[in-house]
Amino acid sequence: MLSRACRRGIVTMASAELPSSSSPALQFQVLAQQGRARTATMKLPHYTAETPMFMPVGTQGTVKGLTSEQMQELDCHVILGNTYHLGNRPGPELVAAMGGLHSFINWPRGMLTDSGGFQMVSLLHLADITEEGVTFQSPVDGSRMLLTPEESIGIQNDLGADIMMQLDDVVPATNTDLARFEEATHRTTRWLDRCIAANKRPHEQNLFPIVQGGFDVGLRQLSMQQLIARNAPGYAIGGLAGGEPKDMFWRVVAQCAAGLPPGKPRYVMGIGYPLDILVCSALGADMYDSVYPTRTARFGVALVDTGVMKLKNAAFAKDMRPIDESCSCMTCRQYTRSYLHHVVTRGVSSASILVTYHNVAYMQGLTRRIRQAIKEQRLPDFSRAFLAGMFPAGNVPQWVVDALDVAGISLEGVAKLKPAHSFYEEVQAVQRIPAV
Amino acid sequence: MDKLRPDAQMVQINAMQFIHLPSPDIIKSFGRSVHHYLGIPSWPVFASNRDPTMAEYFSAKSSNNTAVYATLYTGGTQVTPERYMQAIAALQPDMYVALADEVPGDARPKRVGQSVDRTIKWLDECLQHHQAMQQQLLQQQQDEAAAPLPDPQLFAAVMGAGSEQERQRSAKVAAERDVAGFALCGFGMGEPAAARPALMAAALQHLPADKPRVVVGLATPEEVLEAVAQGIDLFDCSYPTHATAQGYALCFPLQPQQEQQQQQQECADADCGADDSKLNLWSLQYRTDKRPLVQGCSCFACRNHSRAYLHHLLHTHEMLASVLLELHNTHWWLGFFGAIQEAIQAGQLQQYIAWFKQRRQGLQQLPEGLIEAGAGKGQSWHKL
Repeated sequence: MLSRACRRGIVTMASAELPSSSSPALQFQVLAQQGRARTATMKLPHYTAETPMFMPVGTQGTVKGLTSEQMQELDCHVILGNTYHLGNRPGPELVAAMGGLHSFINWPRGMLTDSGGFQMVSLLHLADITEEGVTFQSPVDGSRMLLTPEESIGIQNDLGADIMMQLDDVVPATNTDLARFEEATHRTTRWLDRCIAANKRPHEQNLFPIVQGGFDVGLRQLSMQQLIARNAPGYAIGGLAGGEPKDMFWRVVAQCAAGLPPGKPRYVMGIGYPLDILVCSALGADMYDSVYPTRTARFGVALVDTGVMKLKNAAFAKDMRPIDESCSCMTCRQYTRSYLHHVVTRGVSSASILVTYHNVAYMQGLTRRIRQAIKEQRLPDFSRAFLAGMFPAGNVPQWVVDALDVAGISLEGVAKLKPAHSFYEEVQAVQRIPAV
Repeated sequence: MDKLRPDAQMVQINAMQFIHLPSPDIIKSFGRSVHHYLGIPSWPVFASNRDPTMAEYFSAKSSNNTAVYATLYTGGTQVTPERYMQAIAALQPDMYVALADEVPGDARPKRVGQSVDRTIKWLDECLQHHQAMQQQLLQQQQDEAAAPLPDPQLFAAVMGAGSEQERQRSAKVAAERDVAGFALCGFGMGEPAAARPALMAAALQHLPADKPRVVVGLATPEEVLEAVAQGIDLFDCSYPTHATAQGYALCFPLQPQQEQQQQQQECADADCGADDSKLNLWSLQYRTDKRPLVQGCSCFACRNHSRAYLHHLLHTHEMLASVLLELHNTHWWLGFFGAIQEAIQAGQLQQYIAWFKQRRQGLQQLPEGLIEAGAGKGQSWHKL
């Protein structure tokens, strides 16, 4: 009987057996599961968040034009601060003197800071990675600077976020040198140990390791083994969202989500496309961050279930409907596409705030719907309906079909393409469950 | 906008923004007035003939007898009274200014005379369109019995630039027309501040006392006070907008008691180049200042955030800086008008003005030439 339940792909357990974990500064409790997906609460020092969760990015201590009050109205649980930017301005000592980032920007809920490493590698010329850390040219005066694991954690301790990210050895996803990925995998583990040793506030701030390994099944496995051994409160899946092909992307998420401890949160860094969030959640991931929704808003692009709405397009000049008739956000309740079209085409920066507001509302609404669908045991139906809306002609991409198949969700009747899992090893690593 | 209640009472828009895109047809197809289109249904709307923070005029091409040449977002275009009134009819604002031929403060006498003549002519044309518009609205109301009748009120534009004679002529003719109020145009366009009272008085003496008067484009609180003393009723909020653009938070005391409190709480931030009427949040002085912009201010920005945060937002060129500063500055500016109203009601206006002016005596006075050179020439630079 148990095996038939497994074949149906529905893994329901009695509530006493739902995965959970308790760390000094984080308590994670799964509330409901369906297939590989799960919805949970994550109790952090400043706030109890619900997952799957999308975290908007407040790079420099603000989410582009929105007030802290608006971010709360929009049901954001955790936002991101960028250690690199905030480490430059206003600087960690000042933030610490102001009582930490929460106090400085007056954000009462959850906060997550990244390590600063990614920006360094992506933004700076002549960034160089050695065993010591990341060396780079200071953007201020061109002098040689070094960000070590110890220093990254030191800055993050001063910022005081609920979750800190380790400094990891980030290899661009488009790199093809396996030896480099191998080096990065091992170095990331060594840097994790240095980060853990440097963390002055383990009872108030969580430190998440970041799984490396590129697109190599063996390296990813190795990375997970090593990081899990450190018994962290939660884990991130790194090295993705860097321009890699989607079919490589989902396999890593599938393997890592299956390989990481079920009772701890799994954070896929850099994910913000609604489609990606749905797929990753179906595969068992819990947390996402991206500048995409807020950045695309500043180009006048609004997010809707069917895809995107490019408000600068002349077609909207006379369209008197709201962006989304089913959206109850302030922008959709009060403004028409026509009005938004006219104000965003003029390049009035404050106009983009209206679209930003909607896009954040959309992302929070999407994750709420996913959580609800899991709670009500109807994620497959929700996924099918969502994809039917996004791809009315049935042209769901192959990677989505494959990924959801592994997640136990059949797209029969919705997608023209069939799942294509021809690599047995790959299938095994991703731990496919029977489709529903 | 809601955060500015109860002090804010009306929103000003620029009718010229609705000449081309969005066009009157687009607003009409929306089917409701501009209040709804702009998402401010519960606010009265005043439609000016120009935006005090921008200049649509003084471009390469000039106006002629039939139309204003206005430089809009979509490019330069001719705006006749008919085209203007089409926009007004679609917008259905509560109040609006008729089309006017604006000229700079140093325009030559012939040009000034021309501007008065044209504006009178266009006023009459606008009045004709206005009557037609009213007929149509009446018809509309009969068709949709339940809807309240929009009743846009026309304000005549009084011109005259730097000539007292022309100001008088323009005012006299405008006063003869059946209009709801008067807009004294052409101030804040480079005229010397010292000459302004006489120019205003020249016009005001011919305007009826029982109709509202609006002046758009004045700069400092002192200039507003002078205009209030002379009998002007409505002003714009370009001053707080300019302050925001330059990173200032207004803090001039609105009452004598407030002044004492401020002096007790902190010394004037003289080191950073600000006087005690405004703070320059760019100054490094504020890097670690945990206090609100202005102690005791009840605006959203002051209740929720610190000077240090605003300072950081400015230096990182974040949009939120101007959101919060504009909230504070507009709130402060409206509070100023509240204080003015109280002073008038208590019969204390002259004392209030005297107190306010003597506060600023010790401050550095900008040379007159700077005011003339900068303002009204399409720059956002503004004497603060």
